[in-house]
Amino acid sequence: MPNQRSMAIMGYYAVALLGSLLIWGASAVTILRHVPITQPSAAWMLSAAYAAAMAWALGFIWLYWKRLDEAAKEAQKFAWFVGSIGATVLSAPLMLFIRLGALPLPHEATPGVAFALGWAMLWLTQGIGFLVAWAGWWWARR
Amino acid sequence: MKNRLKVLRAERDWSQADLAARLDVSRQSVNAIETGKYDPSLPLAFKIARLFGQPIEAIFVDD
Repeated sequence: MPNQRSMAIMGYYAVALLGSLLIWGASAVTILRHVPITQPSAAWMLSAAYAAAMAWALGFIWLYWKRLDEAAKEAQKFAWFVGSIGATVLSAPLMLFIRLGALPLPHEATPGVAFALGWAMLWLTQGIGFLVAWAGWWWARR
Repeated sequence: MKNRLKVLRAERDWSQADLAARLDVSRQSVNAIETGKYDPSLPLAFKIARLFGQPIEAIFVDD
């Protein structure tokens, strides 16, 4: 059972993660619903939404990092190194799979929109890889 | 690395959470150290040694 200290620390992380996902997700859905992806302004808006989401995450992650103990910091370093890099490597065959037609791609999107969406997808991929590696690190030390 | 943390803690009738609070670390970290699955840094090892009033080598034993 996590103690009060652990719960408070995890709270910062949850606020950072869920808040940034909410900012990015809600903004992206709203933008893509109202601005045609053929418009260059869509790319600017998506990039601005992504920057806002990252700014939100950075603030809370800083509070989170300051309160972590050394083992938890080791878990973070391991997870970002192994999990994020692993996920980035695994995203290559996934991208090929998508290119082969597994998912419809917005072919009419401007390069800026495609870049903004790809940027966010890479962050999401790294985040998933991080979570898997982080959970594995603690599972091995339970 | 093996250690006597669990024994020392039991002698004082402290739970892992009690020890974690005294060391200002998480209970999960105390558990990982006790089971020898995480080796603490020198500063934390010194903190543990001071808390139990023993030298580091009396608590941590090289495999």
